[in-house]
Amino acid sequence: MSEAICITGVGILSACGEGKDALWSGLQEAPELPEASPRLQGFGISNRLHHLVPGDEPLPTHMGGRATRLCAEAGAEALADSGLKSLDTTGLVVGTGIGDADMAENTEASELRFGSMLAVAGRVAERLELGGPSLTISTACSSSGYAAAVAKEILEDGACDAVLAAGTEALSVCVQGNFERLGALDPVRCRPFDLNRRGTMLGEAGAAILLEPLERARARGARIYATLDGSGWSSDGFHQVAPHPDGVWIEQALLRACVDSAVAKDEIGVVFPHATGTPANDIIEGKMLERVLGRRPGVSVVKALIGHGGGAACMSSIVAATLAIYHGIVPGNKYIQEMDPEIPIIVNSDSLRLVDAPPKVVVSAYAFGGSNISLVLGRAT
Amino acid sequence: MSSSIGCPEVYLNGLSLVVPGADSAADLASGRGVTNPEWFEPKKYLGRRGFKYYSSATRYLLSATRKCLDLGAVQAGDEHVGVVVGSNSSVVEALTYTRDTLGREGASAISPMLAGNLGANCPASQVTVTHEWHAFCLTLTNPLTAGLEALEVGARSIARGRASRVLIGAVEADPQENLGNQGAVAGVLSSKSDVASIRLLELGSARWPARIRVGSSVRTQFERVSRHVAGRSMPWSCLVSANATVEPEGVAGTLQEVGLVLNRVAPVPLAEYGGTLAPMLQLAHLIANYGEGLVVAVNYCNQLAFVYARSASI
Repeated sequence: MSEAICITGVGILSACGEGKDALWSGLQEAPELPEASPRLQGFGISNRLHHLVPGDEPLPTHMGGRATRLCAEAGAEALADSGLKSLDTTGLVVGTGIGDADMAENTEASELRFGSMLAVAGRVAERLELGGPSLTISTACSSSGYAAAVAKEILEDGACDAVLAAGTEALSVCVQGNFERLGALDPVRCRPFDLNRRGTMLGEAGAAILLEPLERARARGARIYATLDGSGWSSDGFHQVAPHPDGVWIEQALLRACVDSAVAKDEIGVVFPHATGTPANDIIEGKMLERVLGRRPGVSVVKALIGHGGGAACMSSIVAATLAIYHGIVPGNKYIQEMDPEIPIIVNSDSLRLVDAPPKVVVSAYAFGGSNISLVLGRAT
Repeated sequence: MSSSIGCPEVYLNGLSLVVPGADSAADLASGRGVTNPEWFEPKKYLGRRGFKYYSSATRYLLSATRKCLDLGAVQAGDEHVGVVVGSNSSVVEALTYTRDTLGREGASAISPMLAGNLGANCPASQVTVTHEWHAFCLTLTNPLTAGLEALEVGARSIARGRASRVLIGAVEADPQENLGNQGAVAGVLSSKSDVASIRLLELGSARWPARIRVGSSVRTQFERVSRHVAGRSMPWSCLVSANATVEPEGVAGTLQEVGLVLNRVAPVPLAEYGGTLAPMLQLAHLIANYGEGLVVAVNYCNQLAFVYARSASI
């Protein structure tokens, strides 16, 4: 049995604003509708709805783009939240889909240079003065789930005292245009599992957690939010933009996560699903969840509140799940107006008390290209 | 502090090159040079049809993977195979196309056949789609070092039982850069030694610190390498990006402080290759010509990765 790994700090910037408290407050309310972004004007994109992080301060070019800024600020919050003082032995793993694409999309100051756009971890490590190893992972919308999983493995190897795992995504004109061309954007809002959903809604986010060995965290008197028990990985190996229609490989990711975490399926009480709002994908995921876990677990959908954060999406859900475990409350899904009858799970409108549910929480993320991951979190005992 | 794979029993099998100026590791020292812009013929590897809408990076990586398959290092349809690839530029071609199309004609003019290419992970993902591999599929993107990091992440995955074999590699395709930033290198990690095996003896990554102190992670990792060579001269190669805070001489000095006797291998003509390809080609070159070697890379963010490897036949 490997050493238990826990979460001692969280940080997030999202459409709810800066900080974990802003996200937690937002999760208690019915989400607001997104607004059209003026930054998407002039590119022949008709659907300009986007969940933006408030504030638009650019970095000096040599310090990277907006994704780097969001990541660094979320990371700084998580580090401060953890109370960790020495960062010489702290590593970093960042997940991002398109990185600092804004550097390349601004043709007047194009920095579309070899290697610069996806160098997020290096820039953030320098900015936060982290002395450990630092990796950047890009598996599209599951990137930051893999960041958390790889960060845990680095810790378990004993190579670091702590590892900051983060996800970041900023508005990208190219990604918005691409999603529109693929017919993947909802014209109203992100409403996963709702009968009237018509696609997803993109959103910006920078999100981070600080991982430490549980015993070490206890020894220094750190606040322990939750444990990260394990992860299951899989690849659809099916199509670049369509999920496997039977959901067999997302099911494998969940089952492998249970094995990796030494958790039985009936110990899982809550799921933070990938749940993009894309018609076919939600049905595949819903059927898979019912097949594996039945209709019993509670469900909490973060994207309805802050949009689909791409490479930051899974870490945003991990942060929400971590706060849910810490507060003992599973946020409800007040956005649901009419549940899709084809989806055989129960998506609770109101919040649930976590103490009434089995103790383990699953967070899942899937991606274009078919890189799937499920992670298991739990209460520290 | 460091990330490191001590010494799990991990081998790199069937290392394959699809790069300008070299068809094999043995060619790298020949000095053929990276001069022919028509160097790549996808039909040679991928057949006559089926790759029209793939990006250049995807074509390169699929071709290098095809060579691994032909060598018998991995089988198509084996669901326990994972993929970890390093790349800095795999998305540049698609991003350039999308940006320019949006600017000229708007979203409706984007080809739906090309829309799926807008992701750094597309080449690796297409490899899993083409060969029906289901263990996992990761793409790493740190400048220069991501290919070496793919070795480390892949080796860790083997050790943890996440896959029986892992296709690792590096791929670059930047239309704005020179030919040396085009192509792919691929190989297959396994706990078994089979096809032209290279034993990975030490892998590591860290940030190059402001000061190298006794007990610092970089120094500690290099000390592990020194245990394998016991005072004899060791071929090595060092790649340091412009704007890194350390010079190659500084890396050499730290290696010598921990007792390594270095026989530096001149990087020419490999100096023409860039991005994540460069360290991987250095590794191929050292193994092909010296049977062993240490490759160290430090990028402009001062991220360091290294591998010390030896031909399994030695």
